[in-house]
Amino acid sequence: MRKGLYGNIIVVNLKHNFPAPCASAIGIFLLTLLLFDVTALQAGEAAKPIEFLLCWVGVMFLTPVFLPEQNKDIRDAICSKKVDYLKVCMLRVLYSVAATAVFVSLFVGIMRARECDVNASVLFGGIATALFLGAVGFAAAGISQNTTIGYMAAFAYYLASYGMKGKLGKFYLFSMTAGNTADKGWLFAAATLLIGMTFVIMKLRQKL
Amino acid sequence: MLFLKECKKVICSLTFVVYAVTVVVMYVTQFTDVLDAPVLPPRQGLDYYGSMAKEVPEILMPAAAEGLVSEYLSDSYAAYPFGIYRQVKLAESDKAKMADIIEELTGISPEELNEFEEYEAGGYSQVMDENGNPTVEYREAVLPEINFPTDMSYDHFKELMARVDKIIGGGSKYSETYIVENFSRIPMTYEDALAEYEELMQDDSIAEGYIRLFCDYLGIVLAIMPIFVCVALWQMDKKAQAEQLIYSRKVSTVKLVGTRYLALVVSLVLPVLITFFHALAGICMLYPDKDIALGGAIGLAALWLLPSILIVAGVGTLISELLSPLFAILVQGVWWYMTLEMNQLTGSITKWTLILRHNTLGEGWLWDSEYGDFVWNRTAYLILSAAAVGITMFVYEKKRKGAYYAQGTLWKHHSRKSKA
Repeated sequence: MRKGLYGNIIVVNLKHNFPAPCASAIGIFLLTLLLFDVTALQAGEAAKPIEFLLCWVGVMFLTPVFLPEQNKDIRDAICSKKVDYLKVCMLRVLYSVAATAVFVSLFVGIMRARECDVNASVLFGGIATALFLGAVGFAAAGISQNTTIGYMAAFAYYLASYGMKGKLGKFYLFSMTAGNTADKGWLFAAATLLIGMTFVIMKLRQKL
Repeated sequence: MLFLKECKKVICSLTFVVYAVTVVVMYVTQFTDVLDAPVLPPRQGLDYYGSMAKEVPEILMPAAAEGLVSEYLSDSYAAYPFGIYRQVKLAESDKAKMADIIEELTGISPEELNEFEEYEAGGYSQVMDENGNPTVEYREAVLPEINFPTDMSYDHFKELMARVDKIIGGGSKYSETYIVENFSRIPMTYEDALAEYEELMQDDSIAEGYIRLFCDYLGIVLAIMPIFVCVALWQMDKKAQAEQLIYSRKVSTVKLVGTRYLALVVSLVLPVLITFFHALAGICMLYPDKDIALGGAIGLAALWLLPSILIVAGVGTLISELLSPLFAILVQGVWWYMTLEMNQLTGSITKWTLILRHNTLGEGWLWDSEYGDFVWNRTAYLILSAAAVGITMFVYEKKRKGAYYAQGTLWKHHSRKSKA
């Protein structure tokens, strides 16, 4: 059976551009299990490992989406190809989002098996937090065309959440740990908006 | 001149701009509030003046016993071996030993302990207030009834605690280093608070109190953000595909790597210096009648913050050259997270903690008790950063000779041998 053009693109990208972010995400996943004793935790405590450490899997997957073409010469060469470069990046975003969701779901599944007080809203909140932090890195990397800036922006936002707490309002990263799961929809919407906005900016830049 | 060229490269980079903005934002949002008004003496007649650690066996022994029961029931012991936090889970044989010690301390038999199902952890936790803002709430732990033996001597108790610490693997709350801070806190009286105020107001310690707080906040940023500037600098050659050209230059490796590292550190210090002198000016204006010891304040800030910049830049440089820049970010990120998340706001300065915290203007007594570890810690990081730069020079020299050639990373290393 033929996989089709986009199927081939996904396979090639999974082979060449997915292993390094995936290895980093596995590292974060294992570290979270190692540092936090995820056994029989109550709701607020159960959200802590997810919001404070596991959310970095989103950064590991989404921030390096533009990394393979960070070199301008390579980017120019890729942009001259028949397949739109941004469509390739969109495919990378799709499998990165899926991988983020899988990692968070797996972790929440482990917590549930260990009798932690986790439910669907914690799962959604975890995915939204990871995607939002990843989207911050993704947007910064895409707009600056520099992946290091992407990681830096994600760390800066995380630091801001640490220091400014309530001042970030609905975009406070650690709200579930503080007992509020309602604001995670905002994070999810903001993540979607950031990713979409980055593609629009890059499309406009291509046209100039 | 090579040094100025490298400085220009760093300062004109986007990563440096983001770094400088982060330093300034951290300073403005977290520290500058304390410069709004001078510290006032405590008022008489208040219910609470804070707390302080003091070795009082009558308070320490029952509190430590309660803490031990709580950790036994949660099957998780907090420990800081080598200054890095970890949660320890005991093997069955160690659990049995721990239960025996608890029985001696509390009168609760191992069977009763293992059958107790109502346990709930206590302590401070973050909750939302009525306005939806995060706030901190205290909750008492639910534990079995503890009857601490009245005839237990303090020396025997200390022996038991040493055994407990050994079972956990060292660096636990029950170790000699941490036990007083964790289990023997007493409420401060008006006189204690006044004495602390008067100590802070002394000419030679007033700036020290403020600079400790300044370093506490800036130290968090400086333990992570320099890595990005460092990585970006070492990536520039690769991006410009100028690595081979630079390898073939006449300039020695020691001069090249040393100058680049020095330029990086000097550039990273600049935003810190600006905020530092702003803070110092603010302190002088707050207390115009005081003869503030500026030399001591500058020395303290340099000893606290410079090793942080040096070690992050040193480790970043080494890992970028040896493995990959992104791996350097990952390693530093994990290190930063582990020390930040597991640190207490004050009172957790150890020999190996990367981020040092003393998040208060006062508690000079606590600072004095930790000062030895502080000096040890900063000296160790100075030496380690020098070692990291030395190893980088060695690796870079090998690369110049072709030993590790191939994308500049160790993973793809192969030696090229010429038949000629």
